[in-house]
Order: sequence, then C-alpha cells, then structure tokens
Amino acid sequence: MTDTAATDAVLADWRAKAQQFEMRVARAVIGQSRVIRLVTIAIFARGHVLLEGDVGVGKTTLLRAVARALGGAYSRIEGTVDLMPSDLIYHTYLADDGRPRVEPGPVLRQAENLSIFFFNEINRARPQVHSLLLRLMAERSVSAFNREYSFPALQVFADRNLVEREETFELPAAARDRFLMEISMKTPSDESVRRALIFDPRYHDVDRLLDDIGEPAFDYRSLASVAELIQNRVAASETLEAYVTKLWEALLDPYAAGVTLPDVEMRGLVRGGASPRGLAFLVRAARVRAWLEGRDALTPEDIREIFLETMAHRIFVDPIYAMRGDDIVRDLCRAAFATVPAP
Amino acid sequence: MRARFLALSFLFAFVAAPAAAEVKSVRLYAERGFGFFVGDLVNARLEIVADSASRLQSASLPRPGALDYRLDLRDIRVREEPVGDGLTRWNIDLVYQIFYVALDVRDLQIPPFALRFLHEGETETVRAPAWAIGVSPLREVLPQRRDDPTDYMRPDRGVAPSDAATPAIRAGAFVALALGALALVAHDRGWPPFHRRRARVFAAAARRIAILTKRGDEAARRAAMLALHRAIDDAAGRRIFAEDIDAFVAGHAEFAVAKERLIRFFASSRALFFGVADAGADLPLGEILSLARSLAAQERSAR
Repeated sequence: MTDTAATDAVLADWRAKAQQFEMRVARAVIGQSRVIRLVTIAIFARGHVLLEGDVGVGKTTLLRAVARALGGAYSRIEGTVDLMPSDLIYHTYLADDGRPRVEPGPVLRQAENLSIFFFNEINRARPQVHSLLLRLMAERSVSAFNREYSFPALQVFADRNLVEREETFELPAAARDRFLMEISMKTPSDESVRRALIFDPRYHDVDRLLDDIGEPAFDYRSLASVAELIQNRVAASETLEAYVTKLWEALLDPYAAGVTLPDVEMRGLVRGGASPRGLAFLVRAARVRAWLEGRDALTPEDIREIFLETMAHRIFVDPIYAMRGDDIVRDLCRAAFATVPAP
Repeated sequence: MRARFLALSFLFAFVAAPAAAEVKSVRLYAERGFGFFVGDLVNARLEIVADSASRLQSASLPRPGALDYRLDLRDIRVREEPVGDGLTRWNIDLVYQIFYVALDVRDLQIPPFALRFLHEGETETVRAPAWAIGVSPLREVLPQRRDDPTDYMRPDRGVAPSDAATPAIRAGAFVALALGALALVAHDRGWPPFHRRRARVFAAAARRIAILTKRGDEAARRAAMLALHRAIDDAAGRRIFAEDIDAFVAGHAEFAVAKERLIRFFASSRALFFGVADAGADLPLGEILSLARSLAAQERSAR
C-alpha cells in the first residue's frame, strides 16, 4: 500500500514536471496545444514521432523547442536524395595534412547522451537510410567502428512535408510502423494566434524564441524509468480491454464489424497495418494520456484522443483508394469509433 | 431486286451508243410508257455500266426539284455494284412527279441530262436518253351541267374514327409510373407519409431500466447503465464518453437541466466499468431509473 502511495507521489511529481514541459514548449509554439500534448505523450511513452504538415507551419520550430525543453544531446540531419546510411554514422573528410579521416557522424558524435535525433524531411532520404533508421528506432542501437553503440535515451523525431512529390521516397511500411505517432500539424485556426504569428516579431526569430524556453524541466535520463512506472501503474479494466479488442477487430475487418463508409466497398478494404505492435503502442500512449489527466485507469477517451495519431499511419487500404490519400483511413477510424460501443 | 424490277417493267430501254471505251452501256428502264395522270409518280432507273476505275461525279447528278412547270424530280438515288470483268454498274433510281393537267392524251417529254465520269484524269460525259410518257386527262373537258356548283366537286373524304382508348390507357400508365417514382423519392427523402417519428430512445431505456430495477442486483445495475449509455449514444448519433457531456448538452439543449446528474452518471459508469477511482460515484439503480425517466420526459417535451 505504501509502495503504491510512493509511486503515486512520484507520478504526481512527474505530472507537474510534464505540465511544466508543455508550458515551456508552448512559449515558443503557440496555438498548437494539441500537438504539444501529443508530443508530450510520445516522450513519456518513449515513442518516436513523425510530424507531417504544410511547409512553414512550425514543424522544425516545434521539434527544436521540444529538444531544448527536454535537454540532453541533440543531433539533426537533413534528408536529401544523395544521403547514404553511412553519412549518418560516419563523418569522412580530408584533414589538414591531406590524409583521409573517418570520425563519428551525427548519430554517434554525442554517443550515449543522444536524447533527440531529429531527421528533417525524412521522405527526401532514400530507402537505405530508412532501413538504418529501423534498427536505430527499434533497438536504439547501431553497429559502427566494429562495436555496438547504444542510445538508451534516444527518441527519433522526423518530419516530412507532403507538398512535393519529386525526388521523395515514401516511407516503407516497416519504418512507419515503428513510429509511435504520426502527428499532423496544421496552421492555427485561432485568429489572435494567427495575427501574433504574422505581426509579432518575437515569432520571427526562432533562435531567440528558443532562448525563452529556459532550462530543461527534468532530467531526460530518468524518462525511461518514469515511462515504465506509468505503464505499470495505469490499469486497464476488463471492459476497456474488450473495447480495444473490438476496435481492433473493426479495423481488421470493417465489413464484418458493420463499419460503413459512404462510397467505399468495405469488404477487403484494409490490406494491412493495424499490427499487434501498433495496438501495443496505442495502449502505451493511452496510458500516458490517462496519467497526464490525473487518472490511474484507462478510459475510452484516452484511446480516442490518441487513436488517429497512433493508428492511422499504420493502416494500409486497398490501392484502389490510394488517390484519396490518408483521409479514408481517418474516416475508417472515426467510423470504427462510431460503431463500437463503450462501455 | 433488279430481276423483279425488270420483270415488272415495261422494257423501255434505250441503248445509247457508248461515248467512249470506258462507258460500256447506258440503259433506261421504266415501269410503263403511258397511262399517267396529273400527280402520278413516275419511277425510272438508269443503268450505266463502265470501267471500275471510273468515278461518277456526284455534282453532275440532277438535283431534286422542279424541272419545268409540269414536271418535278422528286428523288434520285445512286447505288454502285460491281458486275465482274473489271466493270461497275451505277443504278440511278429516279422518281418524277407529273403536274401537267392534260386535256387530251398526249406525250410528255422527260428531259435528258448529262452525267460526268472521271477516268484517269479524263472527264467523260454520258448523256441519259430523252424519253416520253403518255399522259391522259382525268375527266372530260366539258362536264355535264349541274345546278349546284358544289356538285362539280367530289365530296370530302369522311373523317376516320380515331382511337381514344389507347392514349387514355397510356396516360393512366404514365400517371401511375410518376406516382410510383414520387413515392420512391418521398421514401428516400423521408417526406410524409414516410417520415418516421424519431424513436423515443430514453422512453424505451426507462422502461427497460424499470424492469431491471425490480431485479435489483449488481448485474441489473450494470445492464441498466449499459441501457442508458446506448440511449445517450442513440440520442447523440455518436458514442458519448464522459468527456463529451458538454458537447452533448450543447447539441441537445433539452437535456441541459439534467447535466449535473449526467456527470454523476458518467463518473459512476467510469468507476464501474473502467475502475477509475471516484469516491461517492456509486449511483444506485433507483437514481439511474429516475435519470432515465427525467431524460425521457425532456425528450417528449422537446418535440
């Protein structure tokens, strides 16, 4: 009993720190409270994040702000067509004495302190680079210089813009599945926020904006243990387990579950995705959300709040609907929520 | 076809001497050469056999229309058919109409016309033969004297009795079809009489919960909560969770009076189904029933 009480005290303390973290990020990134909340959930669920959105909505600013508020070493790389996996690991150059040198690249340079690896415009990199990321993301380790490097605190943040199609490479399904969330970032809809973004010079200089964030709210090295504490502490009732299972069934076979979408043939719509790993990620993120809301038990709201972001990018539908983009998957998720009752 | 035409026809053939080697023969066939009256149609066929390499210039064909005051060309059709030996036959069917009111039996000249054929860059002219038909008067020049001038006229043809039943049946069928289509549209759009009254979901839930209240055990309380959850979902048209109460009440103003009790109900449901600790959230069956009844009353008065 005292054990539980002690755990609860630790978690309450961390909840205050998490709120502090959100507040600091919100100083630099305004009008994106939901996106910040989702990123916070991803950090405490120890998941990797893929950001997508229009050019200039502030994806990079958000990630830099998060890196600043989180602390720890931070490394970034820009995705380009000619980027090769070895460019991430090794830095090769000709030294002053004219001899070639090989030194640790962006991933290895910070060694084990690397807390955020920020991959800008990931869809400009080739599939070879994506496959290197698979291991980095799943096992938080790489092999280089004949030994293993491990990054216990590593989180990968990547962003992709969906405006251009030339010289871009679609992320393979396996790489997408390893991201905890794909967060879509939109232009803020609130008018006062829009005005501030346009006219307030504070938001025009990103470096000065990031200085306002101040010192990290907590030690990033403790995150792994706190994340484990959260996962162990937040309980899921039998009803909730049944609910999530039914949602999963509705996604695997929407036709059998009675989920319908206008103008879509539901039989054989879902071709893949919705993996057990995806569902595990879903529950992981939902537990963090419940904890942030001050609860020690999961509710359907927790699932719903993070569902689109954790599930939509894993689900692959019949290629006949490829031209309709991601909307159809989002509609499918919404329809599943409208169909499956809870409790 | 040609054989029948020939069999019927009074061979009224003129064989014109071929003008050049390419055009082998020109023949004219007509039904008969006499016994025509004013208004009659005269059918004739001109057959020209020539080298297959020749081309008939269609611009040289006579145009349908008045040829002179007494004769019209009504129709002209050209058909080509190969006849072997590198020869082709052009069948030109001509239909004339006579407008000549003859006072005695006499011959009417059908004017000749020229056709041009193109053969290896050379133009060759073929003349259709001139011919004549015998036309006759319809009646005597001086009819018998009548007292009433209208007697000179023949009586009008009687009016044929028309069929009134078929259009009426058709009109009836189309009216029935239109009404049927209207009924389908009305059913699709939910127009009266197909507009169904929205089911009173809370009334049904209250009835069910009342039955469960008599059982009174924990399973009944669980079932009663589920029943009320489904009724709220149905009323909102989506799944309503505890965090959606504000949105639900905003969309259904009639239930605003029960908002506090709805919040308590959802808190109790969370405690029961999801194990969210919340002291004092244990809603007894009686209160669930009274909440359902008050929601049912609001639902009734809102319409």
